[in-house]
Amino acid sequence: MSFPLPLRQMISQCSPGYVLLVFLFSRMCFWGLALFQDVSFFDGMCVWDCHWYSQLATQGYDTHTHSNMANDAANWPFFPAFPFLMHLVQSVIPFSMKIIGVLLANVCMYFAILVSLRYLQKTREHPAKHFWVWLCCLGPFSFYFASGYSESLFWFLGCLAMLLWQHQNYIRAGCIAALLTATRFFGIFWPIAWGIELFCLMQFHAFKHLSQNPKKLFALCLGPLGLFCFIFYLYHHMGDGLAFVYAQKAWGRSNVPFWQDLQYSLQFWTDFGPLLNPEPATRYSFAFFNYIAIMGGFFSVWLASQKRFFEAAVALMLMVTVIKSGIIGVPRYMAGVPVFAFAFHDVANRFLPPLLRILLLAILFLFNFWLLSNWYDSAFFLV
Amino acid sequence: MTVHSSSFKNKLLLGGCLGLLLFYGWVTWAALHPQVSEDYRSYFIDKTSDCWRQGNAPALFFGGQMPFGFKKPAHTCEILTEGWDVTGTPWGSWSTQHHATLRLPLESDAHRMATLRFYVIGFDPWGLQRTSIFVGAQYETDWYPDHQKVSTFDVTLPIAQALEVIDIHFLFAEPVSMKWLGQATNNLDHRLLGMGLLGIDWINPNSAEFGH
Repeated sequence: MSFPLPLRQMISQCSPGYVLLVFLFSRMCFWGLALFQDVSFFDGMCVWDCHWYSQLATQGYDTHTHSNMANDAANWPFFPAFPFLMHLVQSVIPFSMKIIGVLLANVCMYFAILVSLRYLQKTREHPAKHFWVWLCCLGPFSFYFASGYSESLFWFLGCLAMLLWQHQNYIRAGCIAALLTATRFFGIFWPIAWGIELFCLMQFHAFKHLSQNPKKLFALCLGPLGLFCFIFYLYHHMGDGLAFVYAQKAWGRSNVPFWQDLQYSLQFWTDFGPLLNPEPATRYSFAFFNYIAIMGGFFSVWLASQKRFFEAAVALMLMVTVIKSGIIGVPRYMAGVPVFAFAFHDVANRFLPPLLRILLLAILFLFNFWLLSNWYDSAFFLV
Repeated sequence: MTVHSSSFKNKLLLGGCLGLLLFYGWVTWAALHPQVSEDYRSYFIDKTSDCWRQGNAPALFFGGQMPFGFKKPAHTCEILTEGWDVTGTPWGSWSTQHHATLRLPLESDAHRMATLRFYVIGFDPWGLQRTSIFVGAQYETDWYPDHQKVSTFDVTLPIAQALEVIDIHFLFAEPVSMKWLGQATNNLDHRLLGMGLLGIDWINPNSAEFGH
């Protein structure tokens, strides 16, 4: 069997059309599993934080806490860019926020894959393009990018900022980084990591270099603008600019010093059993998080050893921040930042021949479907 | 001309950097000086309190009832101050540590004494559970609630003022870890079950039906 020439070119070059086909196929698979589990696709995709984003997009930021068992939760920890976009889209397309959140996230992810592919081509000599596209569409935790979460917008903006920086479009990269810091807190790692990269490459000459390249310096200064505007807004709205940090307490974060949590978590390396509990709210395993955290550490070191200083700095900062805020966040936060996926791609591309990569993808897809089935159940370990 | 415009552009960019840094400095200063209530500060910022006070905890009055458990008004951290499960269940508010405290607001008109009837469920699979009751710092009595059955116990307390707030402490001799029983749902489940509180009635000791 041979494909007609344009189609063959489309596939071999991983053109936007090909990416779209793979992307739609992956979403059809997600939809099929929802049907199989007798869950409405949009209900299944809009769980946990998706409801907070919907409420935020509809009502804006809270002035008081209003939900949770202790009535201490408010929507302050959720950054404004994604819900603001949802709000804008709804003013044009009058669907429910739940549907808009899911659709918007998927559109963002499609473009994120295209941009990240360009970034890979720019920064790697022989990227495994097909592996990358399929990994992004159907790899483990890829359902986060199909859900009404800000992860996909973060991927898109994060990859775009990295690509623009690589193209030496510093001011544009800074502007996108400013949007990134208004999307999720981890966006602040971008300007910091650019600074670290400069320092790693030039040591103390970096300061002189920056003073001679005001565009670069301006981009570095522009990056945090989204975060600081958000802090400024919260301060004027409810009196506490850091409410997005403190309000995490309502979700059981930072109630005890993080090292105590970590020490406890590191006692368990085999407690996978509860992941199969019939009651989704009790599915939880420290071992699951521990092993993923170890992978995160390995990928961070790998990136550093490859002298990918920017990506390594982002990965390391993320690992430290996430472990500090609670190990339950490790899988989702690692999936939500593209540098770990880049590292995974690099390792697979370096050590596995194409056939084994296909086999690896097949195993990862099955793992993802198991995770997705848990996601449709609202299993606690995926929160 | 090009040199001049380039130099002007650079100065503009450096000025922009300075402006941004000043803005960040000012916002940081504001963020470090929040304008919030004392309750917010102690609960969220200083973390000196684990009770997010809503100020609507019910008070118990003569002849009144105070039910505990899932979605019951008394299931609040203002009353269940220490050692109770934050999640109320349909079968009561459960103690989860060796020690639990109730801060009970009693609203009195003319009464000088209050006889309170506690409806509790014990968790005592081995028949070893003894619950010692302290009112304030004073030892009051011991209870032996039945395993997974409703028991009632009466306690009589002195009242010195119109709205008396009394701390009642429960010390459990043998609280049972769900893990020991192999009943823990996962390794997050640290509960040490001792007693479930279903409700408190302020009864009339002269006409009350004893022997529940």
